Amino acid sequence: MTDSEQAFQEARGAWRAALQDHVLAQPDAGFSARIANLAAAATQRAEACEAAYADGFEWPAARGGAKPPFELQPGSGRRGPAELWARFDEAVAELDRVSEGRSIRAVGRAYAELGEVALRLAEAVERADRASGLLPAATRPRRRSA
Amino acid sequence: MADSELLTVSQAAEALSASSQTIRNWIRADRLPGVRIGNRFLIPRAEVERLRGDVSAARGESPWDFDGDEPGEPLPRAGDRQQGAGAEGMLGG
Repeated sequence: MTDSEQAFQEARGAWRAALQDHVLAQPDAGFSARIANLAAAATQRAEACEAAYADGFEWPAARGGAKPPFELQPGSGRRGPAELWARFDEAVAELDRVSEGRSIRAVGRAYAELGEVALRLAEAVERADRASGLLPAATRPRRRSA
Repeated sequence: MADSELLTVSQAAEALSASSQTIRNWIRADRLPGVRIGNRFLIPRAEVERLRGDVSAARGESPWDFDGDEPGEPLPRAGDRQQGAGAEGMLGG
């Protein structure tokens, strides 16, 4: 197994683990952390796809139509800015579309876009949850006295 | 409709080499007709057979599949499908 294949399988495992956390989650204060984890896993998949492309691999075409875990779907009451969720939904649709093809580079770019918007969502949800008290206020680093 | 003409989600998943979660997602997305009986879906065998013909060319996993701990399939090499398909550029004459 080449390094890029190994990286691809590791990224696949991280992505699936992140998905499972979303599926099993209760609607709670951990939402922003799960989205952040998904964002990191998506970025890892994007990098692995780019490396696999450079090594001459292609994407195994999949049947489309699958949906993300419920708490990430429209109509689930998901917290966060509507415009970012709209962008997230577009990224999900694009990922679904390109996954039906064989271009691993296109799939990687779709994961990259999904990772970027998911990271922004995670940050926005975390800010809102801290402001509302659902999450504790972020602690400021202590200043050392002179 | 006779019982043998309806498949359970797990039977349809096995026939289509997909996960049960994928089958349920397809039903919800109206890509696969499902009959809800009680708390489970049953799928007409004819629809599964129809989809099998469409699915046979796409055997990769969906980005949203996460069921099971089985390792992923090896990545295909670009151009493997093209081997033996013909000798482009080697026109006679």
